[in-house]
Amino acid sequence: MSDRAAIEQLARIVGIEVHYTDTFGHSHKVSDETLRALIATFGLPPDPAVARRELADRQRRAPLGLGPVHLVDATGVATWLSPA
Amino acid sequence: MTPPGLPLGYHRLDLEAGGVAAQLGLVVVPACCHLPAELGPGARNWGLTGQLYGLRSTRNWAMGDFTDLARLACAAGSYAAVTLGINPLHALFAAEPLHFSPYAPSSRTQIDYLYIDVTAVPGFAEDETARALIEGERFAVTLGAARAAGLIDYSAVAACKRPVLEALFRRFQTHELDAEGAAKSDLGRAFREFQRDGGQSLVDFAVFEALHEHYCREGTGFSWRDWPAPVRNPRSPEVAKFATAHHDRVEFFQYLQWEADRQLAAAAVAGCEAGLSLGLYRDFAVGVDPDGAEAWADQELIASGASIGAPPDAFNRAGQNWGLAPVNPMILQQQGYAPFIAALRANMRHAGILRIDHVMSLNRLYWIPSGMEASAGAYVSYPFEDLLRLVTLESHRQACAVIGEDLGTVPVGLRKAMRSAGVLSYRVLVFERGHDGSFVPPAEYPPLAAASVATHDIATLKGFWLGRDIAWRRRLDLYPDADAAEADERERRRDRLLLLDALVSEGLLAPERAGQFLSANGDPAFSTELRDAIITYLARSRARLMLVQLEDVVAEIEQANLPGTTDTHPNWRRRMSYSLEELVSGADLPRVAALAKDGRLRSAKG
Repeated sequence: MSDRAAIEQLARIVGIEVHYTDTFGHSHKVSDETLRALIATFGLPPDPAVARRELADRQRRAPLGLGPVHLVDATGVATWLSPA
Repeated sequence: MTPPGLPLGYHRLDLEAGGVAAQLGLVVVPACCHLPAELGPGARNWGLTGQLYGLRSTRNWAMGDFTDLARLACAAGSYAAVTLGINPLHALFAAEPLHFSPYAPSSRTQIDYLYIDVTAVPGFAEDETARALIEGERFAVTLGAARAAGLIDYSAVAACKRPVLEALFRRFQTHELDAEGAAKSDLGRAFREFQRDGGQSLVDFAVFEALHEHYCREGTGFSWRDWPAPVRNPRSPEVAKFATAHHDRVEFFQYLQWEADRQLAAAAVAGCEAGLSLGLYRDFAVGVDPDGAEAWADQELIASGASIGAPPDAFNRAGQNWGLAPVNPMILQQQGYAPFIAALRANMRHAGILRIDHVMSLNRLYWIPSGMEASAGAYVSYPFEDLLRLVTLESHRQACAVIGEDLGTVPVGLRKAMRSAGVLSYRVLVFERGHDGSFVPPAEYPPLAAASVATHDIATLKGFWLGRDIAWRRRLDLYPDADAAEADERERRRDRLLLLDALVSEGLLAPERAGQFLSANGDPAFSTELRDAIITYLARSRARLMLVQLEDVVAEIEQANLPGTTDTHPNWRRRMSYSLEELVSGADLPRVAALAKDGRLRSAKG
């Protein structure tokens, strides 16, 4: 995996958009420098591979692999319990 | 499926599988926000909006306060407005009155104490120390100068209010609490109860205020990041020791919150009794100042090393850095969204409507790494579905309708999601255009919307017509080059024609009258006739709620805030040209109210 691909993959995992379209309709590619700086604000190590492992560890440590809170519609199906 | 019969709200689920036990929060949410009949299908109502701090009155202390709010709410109610919208009341920095932007607060769960009407605090009339203070020469000189000024002098307002509030707190301690601090009266008990309800978040805020005051006085600087290491941590023994040693001071800041909450509640009740059926509409800022109480109290939640803003757009070609601290979405989720829920509740309190500023923040925010240009940021996603559902639940629980400010770059699908959640879209006259730039006809406004003539961030009606915003941008050198300024001016000339066309085609302006608003040399002219036509135009829209700014009622030329400027322009400091007494007894408010009511009755159905 190229450096850029590894950074993009990690950015996507934490929810950073690697491209965006501005109000004029122009598409912008977010620079490596910005992505690295923002990933660091999530408290993750700079090496994308190490950071991914750390995120996976956090996920495994969650009891039963479940997040702390789940929202369900009073009227609908609880999507978090339905089979994937 | 949801366990049958589980009511709306927050539940705790205990799970066990394979010998592993886990607890998780289960939140049962309604499909839709609270929507009272006033905002229900077919409704056509109107509301007044204004900047509370900017109200001028013969009795206030050089800045709008909660007694002014009550009076204005009553006036609005008497003219059949359903709501009175105000700027965010979030707590700013008591130790540094020069940080006065209501959209860059220290805490969004607390209220700014400068809105307290000191003369309405229980005990004021009987307190001799308070009386001696306000009868003193220093007070007279400071208040006199602040009252005469065209702009708010926040330091002077604080210098007048603070010593008197301190005296009233000492009186409160003597009269309502015993030597051990136990309540000995109804007021004392109400205060203790408020503290209990406020919990850790109120304590943290008050301790921060005391610490901030201490270190600002010592010259350590404005930011808690410059404090000695032990007190940067809110849970350190040193902070606990400080809080004990400064117990009275910490309690003073809680007392201010209690009094602010009591006066805000009184204003809301007064408005409702005068016919303001939905009461107040409060505004919820998009974030907090990184140097403030909330950022200090939960340093894990607030991502350091970045701030939020916006990428370059037509209005700000270099992008914008708002200097606000972003919330780390992963930590927010880990905390079960508790800080978000608490902030919503705090701002729905004593309100019938909550306006969420920059509602896109539920979906994504533009983060700019520290030290980088505003154009070098990136969008960070937030758990939109969850946050929107929490908004619907809290709206329901607090019986508070929600407006989402959806101006600017709106992600695909966001407005649809807002609609299905019963969140009103926020539409502003000058932004509602067809592809050819023409103004959207009233009948084509969406029904589930709050349609406003203007906002605090754009030119007032008169300012728009006369190009005041463009003139300011030119004067402050905000345009990248002369071409950009000329392009804006060309566009404005065209906009005036388009707006006149729209008014003529709705039959609100005779074609032969239109020319008088554009003089022969191309300089525009503004009059109340034009204001009336524009207000009627918007009143006829299909939007269930139509909003008029107080500034536009009396045709002010200056806007509250000029985006892209901070200290080079007097943002958040403008006082209304007319006093509240003049507004209430003058001809403009009844005129605008009558136009709004009449226009609403004739508005397009559907």
